Amino acid sequence: MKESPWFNLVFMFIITAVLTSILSGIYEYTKPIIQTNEDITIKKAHLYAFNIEYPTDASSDEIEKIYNEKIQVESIDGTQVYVVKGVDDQPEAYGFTFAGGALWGEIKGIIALSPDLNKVIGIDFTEQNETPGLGGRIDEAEFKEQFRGVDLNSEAAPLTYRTTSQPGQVDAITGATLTSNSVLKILNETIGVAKKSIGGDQG
Amino acid sequence: MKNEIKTITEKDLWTENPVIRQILGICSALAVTNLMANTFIMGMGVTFVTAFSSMTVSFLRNVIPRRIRMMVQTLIIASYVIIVDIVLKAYLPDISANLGPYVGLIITNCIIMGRCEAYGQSNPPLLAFWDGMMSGLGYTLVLMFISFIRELMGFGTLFGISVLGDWWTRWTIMVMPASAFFVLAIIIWAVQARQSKKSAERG
Repeated sequence: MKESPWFNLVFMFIITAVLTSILSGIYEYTKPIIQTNEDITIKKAHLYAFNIEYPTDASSDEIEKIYNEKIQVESIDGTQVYVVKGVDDQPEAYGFTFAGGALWGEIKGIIALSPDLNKVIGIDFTEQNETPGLGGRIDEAEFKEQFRGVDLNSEAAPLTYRTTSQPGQVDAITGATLTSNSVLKILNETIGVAKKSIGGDQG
Repeated sequence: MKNEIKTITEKDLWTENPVIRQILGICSALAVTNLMANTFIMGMGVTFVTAFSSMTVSFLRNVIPRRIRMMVQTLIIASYVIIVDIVLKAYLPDISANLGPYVGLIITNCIIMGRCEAYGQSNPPLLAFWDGMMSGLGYTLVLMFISFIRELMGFGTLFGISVLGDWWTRWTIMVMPASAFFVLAIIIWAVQARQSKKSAERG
């Protein structure tokens, strides 16, 4: 009986059902905790892009507090915009989330721009599944820091990579051309959307 | 029983160490050994999964139909790996982010299925648990040794605490995965040389 295909089938069904129920139980139990963690990770990324400092050992409540104090979410022309306001409620920076396909999967993140949209304040990624050690290095400070303060007034595209024949603002990652190009494309598109939505406001 | 435990311990930790004697689990030995903290968590994850998978397989050894035993084993292993993944995400989010896809890849670690096949399915649960745990620890031990060398030379730190100070010039190559090849190969060479000398002496 043990070798009958029906027994095999039933056995497989039962064991799969048992194991997956146990897993769903654990998943349901930890779901809220994981969600808070992910939420904090995203908030930290936004703070980083806006160049807002926070203590490295800050608890999730502290991060939450700093975030809510500094960053507001507004909807301008149907685009969700993160705004940092200074004195007199004047905007000091705008943040736009971006998402797009890269080599392995979707890249998500945020780019913070100056109020006149001519300068990058910073970028950060909240989700990426690029090759660790190659494309994955877009999430390293060395890559992200070079975007700070970059001027966006060049003619061809807002952002370009430095090449031997062409002066650009930032360096791509060696050995990760596809990822680098995808990031640039997504960022330039986002800057385009930003200029459309905010630019309309200021004439 | 007592003798058996002793033999298992000796074999799994040293004479038949999964990494240096059986050359199993090499991918993760290269990928997660640049920081000791990450390596330690990874080692604990593998130990947990190996011990419990082997024990579960052993519990079910008289029921699992032989023809589909590989499927069942994979299912059991995958369940435990997902548990580890969820728990890390919920309680150690930073380490989970650092380890990234490698936690999920514990499923493909040959040590685990190797132990289920070679030991779990033909021995009682407690011994199988012990065997799995010792194999996991044997793996952890070697990885910790590799990461000790890599973190010390690559960052000048141990478990993130600075030990070498500023005068130390960091070896960037030790941070890159390639260096694990060198360190691991040197360890394997040293151990093999010693073992073969020993067995030669014994005649």
